[in-house]
Amino acid sequence: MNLKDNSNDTPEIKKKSFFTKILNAIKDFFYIIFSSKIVVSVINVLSYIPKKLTQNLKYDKKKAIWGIVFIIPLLVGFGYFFLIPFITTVVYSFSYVQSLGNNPITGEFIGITTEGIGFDNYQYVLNQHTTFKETLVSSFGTTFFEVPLILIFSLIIAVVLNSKFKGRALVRAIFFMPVIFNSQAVDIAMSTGAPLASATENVTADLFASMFNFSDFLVMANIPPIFVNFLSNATGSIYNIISYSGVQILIFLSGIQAVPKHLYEAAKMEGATQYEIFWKITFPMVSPLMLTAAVYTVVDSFLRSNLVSIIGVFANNKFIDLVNGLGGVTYSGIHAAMSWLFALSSILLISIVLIGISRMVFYYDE
Amino acid sequence: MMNKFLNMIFPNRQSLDIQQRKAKNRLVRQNSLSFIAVLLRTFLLVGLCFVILLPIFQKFSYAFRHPMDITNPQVVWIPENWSTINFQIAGELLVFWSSLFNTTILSFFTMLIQIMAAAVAGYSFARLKFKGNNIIFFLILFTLVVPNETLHVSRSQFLVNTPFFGINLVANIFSMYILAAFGQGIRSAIFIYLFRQFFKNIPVELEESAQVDGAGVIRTFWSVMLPNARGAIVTVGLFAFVWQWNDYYFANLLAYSNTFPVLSTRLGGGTDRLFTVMSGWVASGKQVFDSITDVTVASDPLFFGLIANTGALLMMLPLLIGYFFVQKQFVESIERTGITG
Repeated sequence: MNLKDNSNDTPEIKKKSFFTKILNAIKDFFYIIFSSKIVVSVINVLSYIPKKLTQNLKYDKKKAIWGIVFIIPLLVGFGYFFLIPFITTVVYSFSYVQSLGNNPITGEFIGITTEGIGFDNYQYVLNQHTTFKETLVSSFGTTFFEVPLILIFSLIIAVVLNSKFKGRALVRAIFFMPVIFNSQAVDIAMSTGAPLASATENVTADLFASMFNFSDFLVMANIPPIFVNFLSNATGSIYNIISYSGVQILIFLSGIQAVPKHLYEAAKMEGATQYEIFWKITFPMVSPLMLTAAVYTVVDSFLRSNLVSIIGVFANNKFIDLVNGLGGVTYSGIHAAMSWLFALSSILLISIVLIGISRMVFYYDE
Repeated sequence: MMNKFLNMIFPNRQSLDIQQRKAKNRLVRQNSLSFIAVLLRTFLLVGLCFVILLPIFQKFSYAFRHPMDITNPQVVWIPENWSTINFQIAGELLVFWSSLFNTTILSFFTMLIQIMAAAVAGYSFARLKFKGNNIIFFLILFTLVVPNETLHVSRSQFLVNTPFFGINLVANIFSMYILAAFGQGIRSAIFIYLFRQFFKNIPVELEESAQVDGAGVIRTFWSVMLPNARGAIVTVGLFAFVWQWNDYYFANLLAYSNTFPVLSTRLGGGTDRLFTVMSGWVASGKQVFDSITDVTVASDPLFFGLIANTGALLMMLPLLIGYFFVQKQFVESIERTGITG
């Protein structure tokens, strides 16, 4: 009895979790290294000239200089890994690209020649390639319809996950699981496993499908087939929608957390219902994040379209000539043209979505 | 008569005036409404959790299934013969332990470098204003909009032929670290954006007081701002780790997988290797094959599917186990990240 009472009386010391311990260990490790005499003296020697140079400057100027210093690696990386390939792609898309191959004596790579041919690559892609145009249009359409679906779904889920109920931690943990499993390698592996899935699905799915065929029921109830198709597609791809909306849920959840609590308290005092609170407070406050989430969704869902695999075919056979009525065109040039059309259409879609959403965005300034 | 009868049953009935009754009605209605809302929410959440967990359960169910059971129509969920043959074959296919070690090392150090690079850049964009600051930030965000696949040919050609400050990045074990350090790792732009938003929300007074106490820019960043950005660090770290673990595109572009094999490339290019692994095992007469009596199973596409599925599970399993340790920090850190606009 006594023992039990005692244990109840003593305040529980909160145990630090495993992860926190690791973080602390890393911090301590860095601290020890950075405060050791050798490192301090090295830093002092290295920073002698910069310190002398910036001694007489104002703090704002110093900050600006350090800002530029902090950005330099980023700019170097941007130029090397992004800008130069980007410009090269633009040049390739307007030219006949040929590889000169390796030097037979030294084995060094000689280089690539480009010959301007105007819009021939684009003409091939748009007029002669069998599937590209259709796929571009169809993926444009799918993305256009997918974006609002994913945005609304993730907003609803974020609001639900934010409310208090039993087992919330578990449900949250489960909802972010698809974010972790989203991997191209797994997709490739599962495409090999597709016959297995379909073989076993036939056994199980037939049973259920014949028992509750809801879409047939809806069609028989005189609901327009277009609507039924949309509904059955949306419910059929519910797993995809969940797995694609993980990051968006994160964005909205953290946005809801950042809403000042006093707004909710005031609304409750005035007797607002949950429904009103959502439309008058939560939605306007979270609306700027719609832009971020929309851009992410467009980019993500464009990357998943069939276009990438069509482009990938041309990426693999780099400098082979392509025989067609137009004259000399290489795979590499066509790849560049396709990529350009792909990137341009995704930018176009992003700007359409942004213009559409920015009408309902509300900015709250304290 | 009726009134008398009611009064007998409810002696307090007369004392309820109309207003009170109305209030009571409203309460009942609200309660029932909230009950319906809770019911709907539970229904939605349970259904969605089921949808999420189903494929994972299915993967487990496939993985423990004996290869002879593939075509058995009676086995739907629970295997008739439990076996670990699939795990043995898939483990051999992935060269599991060494690839796991490599993947962990690569993901961990990339995570550290990504956090540092993104934090420095984000701090600069948020607080160390200079001319052209915002233009550079939008250029960095622009890298998100242009997909990697579109730059593939020119980028791979460029990387092969032009060394980066004297370092050839292709087939180099350290190339991923270099990319991360220069802010061009896997979706680094998102991380930079996150850190920028986070540092913007930290009060300016904190920084000013550090400045008054005589701290320089680096000192302020390291000792004041960075310890306060724990939420962003955890979020960025987890995403950097997971995306590096699952990465397949950069592994192929930089081709470091030839000298430093990781799980994703082993799994992605696995099915070609499966045949050699299998025939090698058959030739050496491994004991596991005694239980497979049917010869046709080995060449069955369903069997390849089974192995691919188990391989995918093996790749995900360490992440899944790790996730259950850190999910609390993860969810909490999201709440603290507090992104606005």
